[in-house]
Amino acid sequence: MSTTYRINVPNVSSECIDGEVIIVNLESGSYYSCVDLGAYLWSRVVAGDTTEAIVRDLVAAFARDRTEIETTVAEYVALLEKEQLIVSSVDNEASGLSIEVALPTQFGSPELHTYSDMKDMLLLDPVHDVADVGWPAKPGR
Amino acid sequence: MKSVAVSVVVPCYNTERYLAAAIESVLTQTLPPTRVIVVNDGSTDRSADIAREFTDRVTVLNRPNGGISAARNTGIRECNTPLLSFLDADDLWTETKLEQQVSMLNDDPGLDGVFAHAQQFISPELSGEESKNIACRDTAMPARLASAMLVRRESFLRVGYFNEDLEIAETVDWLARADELGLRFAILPDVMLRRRLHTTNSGMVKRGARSHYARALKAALDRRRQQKARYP
Repeated sequence: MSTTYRINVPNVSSECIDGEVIIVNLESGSYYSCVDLGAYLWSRVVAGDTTEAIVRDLVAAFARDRTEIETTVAEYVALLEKEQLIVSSVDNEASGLSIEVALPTQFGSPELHTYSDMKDMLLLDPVHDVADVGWPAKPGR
Repeated sequence: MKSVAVSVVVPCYNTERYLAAAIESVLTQTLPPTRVIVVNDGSTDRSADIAREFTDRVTVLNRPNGGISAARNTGIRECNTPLLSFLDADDLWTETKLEQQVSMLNDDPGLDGVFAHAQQFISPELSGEESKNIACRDTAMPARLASAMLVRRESFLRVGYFNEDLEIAETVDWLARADELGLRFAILPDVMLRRRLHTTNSGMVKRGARSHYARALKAALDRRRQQKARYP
């Protein structure tokens, strides 16, 4: 079975505003911005879609080489995982996160812009110590 | 110790358990503030009664519940001292906080404000099970938080009031705006804010409002882009 991912709750949250996805990591204090293909890939990945399904839809939408699309998607997913914004989902447990991002009109290189200028403030928010299953719970419990 | 022209705004919402300790930590400063304003943001517990126990030294304002930004703004509008500071009703100042920060602003007229370090602690009334479940970082951390700030009133008003549309992340939003205007802040190395972790921290009970961080950060990014486009 293909690997699926979910957003790395409770420390990571995201929102799509005017076509731009803002991702906040309260564990690291960094936040991120992505648009176009980057935002689209984020929305599909955190929705629990497999990379195969995402690649299939991109291949159908753009006149590009499948291998190029596979590589692009794999590298972007690896970047999201490296930044600890997503984690692989055991038993294909979806995060249930629904972010509506339209398929971009062009197949461009997906970018993830990283910012750390608010790190001190984001690290001090107590919400990052709380699991989604309910308060109080340490992450992973 | 002579008084100094500093106002302290303490917004409170259902913090009956912690409010008295917060107010005491303000009133026992080695350099006491000129004015302390407790803004009761429509509490449904005994917060208002507790605040009234201090009315010989504290002004108590009552308003319908509107969130921490609205409560702070209500207090700020009552302040006419040259220096402003804030303390959330569940946190504590160390006793030389104002003295050290006022001294720094006096020494450097070019500074707009001063922050300090903060240390978190688990509120002692929590049960063993509750406290065991909180991952509390108890190392001293540089704290650009409203409760750790002393700011010149004139500088504060240049930035503007706290955004009342944000339930959390209001200080992130305010500081982003301050940074964009080029305000200068220092961060003192000592711990001057003791930040209480408990079962009803706003960051915990307002989990649904976490997206407000994204909203505040997106707004900051947009302003920077506009600025860059205007002055490339």
